[in-house]
Amino acid sequence: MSARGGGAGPGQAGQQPMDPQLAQFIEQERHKAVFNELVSKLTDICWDKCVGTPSTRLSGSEQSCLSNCAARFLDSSQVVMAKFTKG
Amino acid sequence: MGWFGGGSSAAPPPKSGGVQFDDSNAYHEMHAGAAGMGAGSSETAAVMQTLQSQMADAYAQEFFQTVRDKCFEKCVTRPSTSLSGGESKCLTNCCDRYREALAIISQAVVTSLEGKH
Repeated sequence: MSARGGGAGPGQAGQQPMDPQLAQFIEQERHKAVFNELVSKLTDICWDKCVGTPSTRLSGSEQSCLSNCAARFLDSSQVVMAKFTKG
Repeated sequence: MGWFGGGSSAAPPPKSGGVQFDDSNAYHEMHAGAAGMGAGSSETAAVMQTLQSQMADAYAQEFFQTVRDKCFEKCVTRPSTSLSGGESKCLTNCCDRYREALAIISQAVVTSLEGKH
């Protein structure tokens, strides 16, 4: 989750430079958004894999399934990424 | 409902007295903490506040839609002329369980990323 250049920040194209404090704030918010998007996506996927009919609590096995599911998704992501970058 | 993590994960809690605004603008003062850092100008603070609340709104709306779709899928398996008591109960439980699942995943992601860097 490294910072990519530019991004959607306003203030390019010949306008006066952005308030550095605002720029820092936007960067922070962008990081939060990236994290939240990842967590939302993983919850979406792992919910389907791990959780049965919703009751008054998540069982222990549902909880560990969710946790493992998220971690293994990230592992898988690295494997696939490595495969793609090596051609 | 807050933006996931309630803003507490990245934005520090409001500090009183850290920010100067003109007294006439209670709105800015009220939300001064949301920007998380002592803003140099009230204009910057206002932009930060607007941005943060728009992102929170967008997140909340998307989250609602996701939970609705997921819980409908799990709980209303054979739609009939009305929602049964059991289906309603399932939907209610489902909302809470989905949040719980989100919290577990969030923690797992944090742990996983920490372990790798």
